[in-house]
Amino acid sequence: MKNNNTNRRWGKIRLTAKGFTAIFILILALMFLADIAEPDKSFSERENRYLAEKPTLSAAHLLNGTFETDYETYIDDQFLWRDGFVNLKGLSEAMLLKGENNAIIFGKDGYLFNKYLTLPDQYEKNINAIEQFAQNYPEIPIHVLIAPNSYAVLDQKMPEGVMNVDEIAVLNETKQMLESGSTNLDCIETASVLNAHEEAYLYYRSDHHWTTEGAYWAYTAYCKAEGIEPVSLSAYTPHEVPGFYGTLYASAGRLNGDPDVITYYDIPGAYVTLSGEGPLPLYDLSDADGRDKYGLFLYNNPSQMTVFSGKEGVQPLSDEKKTRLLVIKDSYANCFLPFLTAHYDEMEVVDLRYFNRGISALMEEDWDAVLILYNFIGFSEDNNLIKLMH
Amino acid sequence: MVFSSLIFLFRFLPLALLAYFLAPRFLKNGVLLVISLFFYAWGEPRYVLIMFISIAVDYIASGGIERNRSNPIRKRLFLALSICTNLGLLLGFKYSNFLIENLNAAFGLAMAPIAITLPLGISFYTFQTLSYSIDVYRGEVPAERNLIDFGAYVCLFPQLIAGPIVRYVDIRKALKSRTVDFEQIESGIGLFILGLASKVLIANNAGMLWDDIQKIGFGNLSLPMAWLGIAAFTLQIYFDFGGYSLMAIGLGRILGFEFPRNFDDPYAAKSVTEFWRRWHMTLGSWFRSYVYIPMGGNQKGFPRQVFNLLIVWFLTGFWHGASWNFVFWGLYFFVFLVLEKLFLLKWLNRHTIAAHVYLIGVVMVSWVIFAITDIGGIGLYLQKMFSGPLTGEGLYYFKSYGLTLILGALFSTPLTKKWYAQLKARRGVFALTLSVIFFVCVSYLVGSSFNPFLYFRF
Repeated sequence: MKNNNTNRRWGKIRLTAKGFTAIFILILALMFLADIAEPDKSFSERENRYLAEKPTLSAAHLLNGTFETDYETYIDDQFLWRDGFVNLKGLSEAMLLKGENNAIIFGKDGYLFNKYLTLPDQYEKNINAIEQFAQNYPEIPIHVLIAPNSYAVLDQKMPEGVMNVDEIAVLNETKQMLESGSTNLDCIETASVLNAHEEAYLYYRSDHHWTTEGAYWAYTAYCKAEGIEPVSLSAYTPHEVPGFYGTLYASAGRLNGDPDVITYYDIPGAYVTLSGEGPLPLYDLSDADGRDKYGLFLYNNPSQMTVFSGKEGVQPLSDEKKTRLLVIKDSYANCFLPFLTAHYDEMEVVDLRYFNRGISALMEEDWDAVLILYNFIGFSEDNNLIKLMH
Repeated sequence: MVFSSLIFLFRFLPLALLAYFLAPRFLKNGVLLVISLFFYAWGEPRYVLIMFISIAVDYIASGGIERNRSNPIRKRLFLALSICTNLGLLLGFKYSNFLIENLNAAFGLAMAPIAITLPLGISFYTFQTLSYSIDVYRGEVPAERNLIDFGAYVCLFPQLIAGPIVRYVDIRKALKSRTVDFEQIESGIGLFILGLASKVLIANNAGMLWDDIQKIGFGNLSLPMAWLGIAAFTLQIYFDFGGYSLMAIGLGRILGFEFPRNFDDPYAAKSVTEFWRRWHMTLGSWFRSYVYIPMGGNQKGFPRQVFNLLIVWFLTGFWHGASWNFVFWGLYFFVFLVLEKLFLLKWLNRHTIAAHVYLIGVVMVSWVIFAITDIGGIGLYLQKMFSGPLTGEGLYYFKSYGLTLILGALFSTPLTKKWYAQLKARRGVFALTLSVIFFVCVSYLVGSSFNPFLYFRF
């Protein structure tokens, strides 16, 4: 060992064991110092979340270990060249021919998909909650629309042999179960109409939502189920918001195609009120310039809002009085509901995740129907549907 | 604290090394003791008490043994004190709930489980201090009279939580006086980074596939998927554990200690007998020295040997976890070891290729028993491995993880040793390669905290 101390060459530099040690001491010391010196950031645009801050030291937290855990999270979140390291990992994964990163699968034609291998128990709990809800209000028709996620519809774009949850099969089973169990419940099946338009731009490539066009085709399925005439898409004026990088892109850490384009349609006359404030326009275009562009639809999930069709001559379901729909929903409804303004004068829109009251007080009002609209993954993981029973 | 974390690499390690190398010689063991206690206390400060108990009891017990060399009864009593304390800690913390569960099941009782978390590394350091007391009792080594030095031996942070199990005899000299030169540090750095890469790049990635297999559900697996899954686990456990041992050995070397080797290309073995001489070697030799040989080993006839093996493999299995599947896992190896002693080994020695296939097959099946804690799950998984549907489902996983697994398989052969030696011979390239690997490892550690918050927009 001793004699080859100096006679190894690397280029023209002789590297000794001392020099070797020095290199690694330098790496460690510089990174240590630079990491400490680097000012903390409070928000990560890319991850769309607040980063952990330095925890305050207290004896109690130190002893029960929460200080240590928080401190580790803080070090992780605030680490030097965080974005660069995240990219380096993405690069390494790509070189390993990994078809995924962070549970996002790279599909064909630039599509990113969720990896969703297990149906959580929460799904059944939520279905039971809906069933219970329907039994509590037997005189009100309840429409349930659980939208399949992109991977379940665009199976041509999915890599072969991913053993994701078969959403379509689960939804069909649920439909049978719910409709045979209650008389005032119907499940709106959207998979076939979406499948029939598989070539269209139904889902965002880089985001977990459906596009406005996807929502439109689901809307036609809704109309068919309720026996109303859908308005043709060409009746509306479209507007485009380009450069949309969605949530799947944020998770995957890289895009394998172009950014998405969001389309929204003018609905003349329609407006919303937000906790009594308003009228406000249907679309919040201030979001169109930000990162979270999908937020332009219905103000990005307020706990409660009212959507008004705002005009005479909507196709009334009943001629005598205003038609009123109660919508219980997640963000898949946001680009879907504008189409329903053609059929309902007033929609009360509730997002149970942020709605901290029971639903029973609302149910005392006079509703023509209730629409429960979620996307499949969101629905299976949401533990707020219990609020339907209170 | 674990080695494969940013807080260890970029906070603890630089500061600990700085303190250690700046300290004058007579303070080094003291510094080592303090930083090791800090390392252990991080996250679970209460359990430092166990460390103190362990140090105090074994210090007193070994001192007692030393002073009573001529009094066999008192000597034994002091040994018993050490054994009871160490095994008591291990049994109490690790096996209480297992005992309660089984008593409940056997007698229809309804005792509530105790809310305790397993102190980190307790299986390792109790075995380590046990070996010390027994060695002192046997007169193989004098008792350590310097409390600081002894404390440093018990708590030494590199091997504290996941081995190798270092016997006091092996590092006594280094504990008293050690020198470290740059060649040693260089080789320590190399082993540490190799270990880090094993853990972060191979074990964690293979582990992701195994996680997916569990999420898909064993009932939904095709035959190829079942094999792919257990292949992933086979790599995960080796690189996880082997990687950790390498990091420990590397850190030890930087500090001037030479720890025993813990893994020696186990998957290249040609029999189960050989496998266990290459896998978790310090545990194997522990059971050999302190259980198998004291019981008579192979010196008291074949039936007695088989019985001794049965005990050793029951204990080896049980040591790995407080659950029946680990016991079965140990006994599974017992069966193969006895078969090999009876006739199989001779045959295997003559059929090299068949021997490799046999070994890897036996080991992969063993990991099914090891990885799945419920017995029904083990049965289902084995059924899928041997009679599952031959479908192309899961094709995606072969494509997506194939290269990772192939690389892992390559690195678990003796080729690694060869490549490593070649690389090491050219120091510049060695340094460059190691730093690239180090940065990629860091990128995976940072990447695992990359956690986009999406839910609110669903």
